[in-house]
Amino acid sequence: MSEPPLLEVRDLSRHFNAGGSLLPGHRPRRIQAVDGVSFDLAEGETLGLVGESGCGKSTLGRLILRLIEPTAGAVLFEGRDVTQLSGQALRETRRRIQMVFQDPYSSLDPRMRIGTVIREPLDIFRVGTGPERRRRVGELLERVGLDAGYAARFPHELSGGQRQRVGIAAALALEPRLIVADEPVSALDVSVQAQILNLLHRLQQELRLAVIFIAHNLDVVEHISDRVAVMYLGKLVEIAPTERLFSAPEHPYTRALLSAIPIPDPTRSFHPQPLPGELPSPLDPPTGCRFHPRCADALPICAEARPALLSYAPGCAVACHVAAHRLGLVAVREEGGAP
Amino acid sequence: MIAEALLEVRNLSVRFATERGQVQAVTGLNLTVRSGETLGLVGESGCGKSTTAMALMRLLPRTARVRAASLRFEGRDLLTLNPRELQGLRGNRMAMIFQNPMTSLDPSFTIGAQIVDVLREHRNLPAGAAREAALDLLRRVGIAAAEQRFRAHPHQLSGGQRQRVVIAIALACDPSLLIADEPTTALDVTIQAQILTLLRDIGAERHAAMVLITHDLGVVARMCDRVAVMYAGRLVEEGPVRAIFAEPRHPYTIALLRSIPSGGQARGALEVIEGTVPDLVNPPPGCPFAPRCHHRMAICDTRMPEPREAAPGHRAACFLHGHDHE
Amino acid sequence: MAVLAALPSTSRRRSPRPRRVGAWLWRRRTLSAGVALIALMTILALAAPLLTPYSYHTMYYDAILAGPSRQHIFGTDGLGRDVYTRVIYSYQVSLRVAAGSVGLSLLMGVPLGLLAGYWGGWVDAALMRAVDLLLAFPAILLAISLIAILGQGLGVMVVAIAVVYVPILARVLRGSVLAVRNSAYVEGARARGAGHGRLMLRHVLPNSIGPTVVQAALLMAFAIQIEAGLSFLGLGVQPPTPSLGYMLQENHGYIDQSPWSTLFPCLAIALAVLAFNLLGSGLRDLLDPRGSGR
Repeated sequence: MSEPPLLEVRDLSRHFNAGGSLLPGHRPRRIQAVDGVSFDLAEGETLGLVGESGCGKSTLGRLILRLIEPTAGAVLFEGRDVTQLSGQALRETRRRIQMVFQDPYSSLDPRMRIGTVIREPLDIFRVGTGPERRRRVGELLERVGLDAGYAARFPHELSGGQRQRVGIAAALALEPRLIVADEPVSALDVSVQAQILNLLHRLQQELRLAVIFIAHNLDVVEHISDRVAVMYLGKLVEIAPTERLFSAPEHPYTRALLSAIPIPDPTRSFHPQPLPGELPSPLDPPTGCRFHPRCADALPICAEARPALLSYAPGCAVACHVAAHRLGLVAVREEGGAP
Repeated sequence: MIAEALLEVRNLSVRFATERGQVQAVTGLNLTVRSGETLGLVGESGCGKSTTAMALMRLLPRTARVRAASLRFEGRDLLTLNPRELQGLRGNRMAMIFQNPMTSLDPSFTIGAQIVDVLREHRNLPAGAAREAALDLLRRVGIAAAEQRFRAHPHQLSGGQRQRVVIAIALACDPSLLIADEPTTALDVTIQAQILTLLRDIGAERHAAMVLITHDLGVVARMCDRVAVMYAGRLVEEGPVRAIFAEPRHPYTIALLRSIPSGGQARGALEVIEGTVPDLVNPPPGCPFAPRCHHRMAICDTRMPEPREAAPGHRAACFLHGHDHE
Repeated sequence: MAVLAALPSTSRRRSPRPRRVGAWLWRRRTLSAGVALIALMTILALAAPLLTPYSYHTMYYDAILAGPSRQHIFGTDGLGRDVYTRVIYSYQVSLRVAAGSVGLSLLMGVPLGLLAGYWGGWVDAALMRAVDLLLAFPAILLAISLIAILGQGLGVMVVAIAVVYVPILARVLRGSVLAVRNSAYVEGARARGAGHGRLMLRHVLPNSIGPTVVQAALLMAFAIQIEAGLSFLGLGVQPPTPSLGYMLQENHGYIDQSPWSTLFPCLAIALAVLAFNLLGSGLRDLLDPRGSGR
């Protein structure tokens, strides 16, 4: 594909200050929530973003929307760097990247009617006339599978699944090209989850939406994603097309993660790879490769040098000295790009 | 070999008074747990699984009306015991692990103190012996540097470590029954795997029976010997774990298994269960799943199907199985 | 494409409207009682001239310190004036002070609390330090100092009490705002283009104002007591305007001769304080998302 990708994330970082003294000799303490993450996303593509607590996936999602300001790096959307925009240009770009939130029970203003919630972005950006906006709200509700009459209701009158549909409808109001979905089905029951996943897929087909699907449930991610990126302690450790990642993961953390998922099949045995120790504190990450203290395959170099994210096949990259060695990679380019 | 029934529940029903009216949270539940076996109790939110667990431990508030034909544990009828006797059982013969490790431990006390507390309450151990036993437990559940951690407060530990402590407390007095209500839902995947492995190993080691409540069918497949599926406060299917997954009999179980993404389905084509869960305030007569069931028959709307054997050891509450068709 | 979730139909017949309203009010009887009492006091105050044949300053020398009788249902005071009349006219002062001071205080305190909680950082620190300064003064002393500087009268008393209350209301609101501003729905509105003004006024404020309203109702109760206290000390409204505190001042020497002239003003104060306390409690229960609203 020769088209430029819809989204290009380059070395994106965000650190938080975590107190610490200003006295000489003391370093101010920092948490590297997201550290030098790079990847591409094509139009209409679904990228699954997985990792455990503290890996930075939610922060990364918010950085892309610029709900949080990055401390370094760039986010190129439709060719323009979102991190450098301001004023009108930023507002226009904001319209085209939207977010769906995790908890349906807190993501809607409890005091606003559903119709008002969905209509608000149209009012803010002055899209169409009053009656046109009202009509569009009805259209959006039907598009997500709800009767247009729900516009008059309050969030507490709706179930979790219905509320999540409303959240999706609100995100679609401004006709975005990219949606960052932050754990959109984690708080829902299994049967409702299926409804929302089907809905998201259908919307993607109809509207050519690109989706970054942040989740901790790997089964869901496997089902819905074209490619999957794995994060650990703020760094992107592996990215590959779904089937490849799940059948032949290259990074030791990915392997441990995949082996830990309980599969709903009692005939298969469950032997999760032991992952010793606990997640290190983000205030005091290990030197070199952040995963090395827990890694069974660690080499001496892993404690000293940070592994670069290296491409080993189209659309596939891994940040691991051991894997690089095994795959015969040379540090020529750093990529995580779309095929 | 038929093992002794450790826990026997017959016709359990639980009703709550709420602003909207009487909510029938659990109806007509029959369960048997044998010594040493792990029973999975599955269902989606509102199905009554947590309420059932709390009812078993007699931990429901007084606003809940708990009735049962019998509720026998280790041969004793739990419904006739006075509060003191029940207290003697809890933490001792039967123990519970709750979902959220962040809030299950008292933040004001050290974790060592909390384990010692249970030991001294039920076992009457002197301080020194209790401390030794507590340290042993901490090591057994995989807490490194047990002596130091003994003096730590809950907020100083991670989620996974806290859950290990909770397990240590639960197993301190060697209960014969452990009830675990979504013990790993709040934990990361890799930590979940560690905790599940720990539970499985310790359970086997101490020959403790376990009732594992969860909505995650993957966890059920990994951990349970038998599975009971609940819907709208009723038991709809029960059987050995392999049978439930390989040949589910109740339409709800079938639909549930098909709606989980498990690598086989095409995108956008996950099976969906139309409709919503029935209102438990005014449950309609007949099978609660009927309005959403593809195999709905006329009788399903008027009569409640009782669980009948669809295969050896495998019961389903559905007119499609094991009933004489009217 | 088939719509998955259609609106459910209302199949049950609902009971008639007046009955439902009645049940709703009964479930919230604390609130209902408070509102009813306040309504009663307001009517008494506003319609005072219509509710009594006497004026509040006419002295009946033949009925000094008389007990309750058919002519004077609350008796008379040391100067022969009808106590009942004076009490209901006094309510005009009490209610104006309560509503005025708290209203003014909200006007000043809400923006402070909202901005401090929303922006955080140095804005929060600066505003809260200013507010803390005010909080350091005991209420009555601050009021007395302001009255000493600005003179006496209803207006000064209202301002004095309002100033004392600003820190309380600002802090309460700031606390709620801190909780609400990080909600997912605020973030969602932001992602969909809402600017700070819209976020603050349309999303944060309505969802965080609850506890502040409850506090305001309770402060009105306290304002009535402050006004009574200041009037008792002679620092409140000046005679001939009647006020409950001043009535106590005038008649406290006659307690052994005629307790009625102090008893009824006391009860009147107590009733007013009770009314606002009930209102505050009732509002708190109403706004508590988990409560049954009783």
